[in-house]
Amino acid sequence: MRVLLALALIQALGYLTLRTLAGERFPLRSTESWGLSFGAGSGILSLGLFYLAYWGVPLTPTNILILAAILLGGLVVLWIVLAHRTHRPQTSNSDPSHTVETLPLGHPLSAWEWTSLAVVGLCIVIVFVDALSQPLLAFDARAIWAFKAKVLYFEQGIYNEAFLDAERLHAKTRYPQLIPLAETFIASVSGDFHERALKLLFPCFYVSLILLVGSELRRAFDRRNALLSTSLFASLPVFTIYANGGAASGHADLPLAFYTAALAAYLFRWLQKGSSGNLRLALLFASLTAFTKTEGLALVFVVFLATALAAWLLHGRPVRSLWPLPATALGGLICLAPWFLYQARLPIVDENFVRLLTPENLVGGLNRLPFIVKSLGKEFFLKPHLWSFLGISAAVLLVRSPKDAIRSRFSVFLWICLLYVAVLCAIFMVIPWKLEELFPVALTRLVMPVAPLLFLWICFELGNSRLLAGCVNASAHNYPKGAVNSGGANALKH
Amino acid sequence: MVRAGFALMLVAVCVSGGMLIAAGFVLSGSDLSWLAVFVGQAGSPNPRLLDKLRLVPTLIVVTGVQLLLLGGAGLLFPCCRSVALADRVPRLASLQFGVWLLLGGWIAIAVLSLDYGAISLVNRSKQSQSLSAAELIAADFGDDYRVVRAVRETTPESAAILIKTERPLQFLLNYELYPRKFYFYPERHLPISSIPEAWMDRRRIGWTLEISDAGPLHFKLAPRKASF
Repeated sequence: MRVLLALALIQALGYLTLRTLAGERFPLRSTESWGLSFGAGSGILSLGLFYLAYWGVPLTPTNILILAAILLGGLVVLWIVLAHRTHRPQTSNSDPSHTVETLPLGHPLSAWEWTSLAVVGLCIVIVFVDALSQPLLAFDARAIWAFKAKVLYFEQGIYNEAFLDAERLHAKTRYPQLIPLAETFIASVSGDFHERALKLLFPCFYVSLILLVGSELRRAFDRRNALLSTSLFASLPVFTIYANGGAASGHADLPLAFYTAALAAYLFRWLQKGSSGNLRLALLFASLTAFTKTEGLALVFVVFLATALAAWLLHGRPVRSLWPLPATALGGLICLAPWFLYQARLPIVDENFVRLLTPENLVGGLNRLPFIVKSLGKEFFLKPHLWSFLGISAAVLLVRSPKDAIRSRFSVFLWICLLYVAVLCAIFMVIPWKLEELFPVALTRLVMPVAPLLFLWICFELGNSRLLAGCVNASAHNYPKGAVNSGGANALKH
Repeated sequence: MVRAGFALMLVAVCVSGGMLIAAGFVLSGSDLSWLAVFVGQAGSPNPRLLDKLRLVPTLIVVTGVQLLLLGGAGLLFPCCRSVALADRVPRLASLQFGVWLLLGGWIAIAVLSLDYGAISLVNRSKQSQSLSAAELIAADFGDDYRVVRAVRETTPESAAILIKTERPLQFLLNYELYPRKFYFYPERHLPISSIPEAWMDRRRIGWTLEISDAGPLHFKLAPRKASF
């Protein structure tokens, strides 16, 4: 029962944070709010707990509950104040998302839609049952994330030997602490360190990710196709049945995929429509992406870079007008300043990618490139039991019309994937480990954070290309139509 | 013509279902380690992967039954709606047909993955019905659990232990045996006897645990004469 209370607190906190950040003039759709709330709540609470620990306040259950209560109360007050100040009678109908949202409510679901919903429901049930049916067993889930959570829960702080002594055994000491702190929150509210309770965190992230992807698809497609696509996404085996990184495993890769997708989605919306509400949410998700895993920092950089390039090259915006992007990224990283200061004090026992990424090392690692490319190709194209037809579909769309694919307004999602894979390749070229031993256990998980973006790109492009004429209603709804495949010259002007 | 096409599709679905059921029965009990090359992360069989591969014949039979049911349901489909449905199938060799094929592939994988997830859960619940969480963890450790048991039964919870091994097992021990503190000497290749006593005293190390780096598991847990 207490576990449910912890999860409800996370959801409520996330919901209020999103509402407050988005503002009344930028209403979120209900599926979007539900989808994003859990991830946002987990992140905000983890950040809050980290600030407490950073300033030396012990992470006792009482202190943690007081923090949650203060955050909840503060957000409610802020939300009410903001709502009161920005209230305009006509604004509720000014955003087209509202009309799209309410349009299908009166229509009964078709057989296809029921089937799609049933598939999504079945996937969620399988993942929850899988998570609850056994304790934490995956290596990273125990040795990295839950170990940190155990230390944080039992030693109630971050200034202890387990973190600071270089000779104390600790896998990946410098990894960010969003997941361990979220686990600590659940353990503190539930009153004990129960692995099964902690595991609930990850299926909840899975549900959030499905809702987020579904809500993005709903902006571009009619209800039937959005539901069908969402069910295909939810049933990707890499999320449902993959024991070494799936939604029930306790790894941090799925939460990272969620935060990356949310960050990219809000920056994409900013590209399409502007609105500072999108940037405020992007700032939040930039912070949380970098606070989830080490790769998160690279992903933040890649997502902002791809968005800036898209704004400049595709949307024809002058470089000077792009200042909100670096400002948002910087704001997100400033929120994490205590973490970076603390991280600098942690011993470097494992790899230090930043130091390894030198031009000499990159040149020296060029001989590894053929193996890396071959392994990535195998990963995307020859593993349908993990990725279904994700890689093949992307390749088919890209090969069919490379120019259009690169220049379409949705291409920012593809750019993010390609840039991230390029960063991964660079890291693989310089790390001191044997790739033959690393890839079998890590490659699938390392590419997982961009899988939702690649899926969104495939769906948007398919809808755009009219290959599914009569089936997909790509012109619909919130992403305004115009110059979709015609490159930068005819791109949307703001 | 369209009706004939739809009927042909139903026949194909039913025949495929029958073939899958037959294949499932043929494969049941046979050695499926060759599949590890295609589905295994390392490309070679390991005990856990082989456990999963044993579920493949059941998966094939279940999917075959579903196809038969789908075919049967198609026969009950109203004629006018079946014609409308078949009419929407794009012509062969068109780009749209390629997209439909991809979509069909996605749906097939989705069905297979859902079936596998359900079968795997049922199978697991049968196997671990009467096992506690601790027993499940012990089973997951396998032979390595000897080390966990030895350390747990021999050392107090407040013990500081010097560990010497290259096995990733050390990090699982670190989690499982918390709040025991594990330390390692920075020069990992150095034998325990050569590690400076002063370094060990500073960390109040009362036990040493040496585990073989590779090959069969050998370990030695010994108390240390502490002078701190």
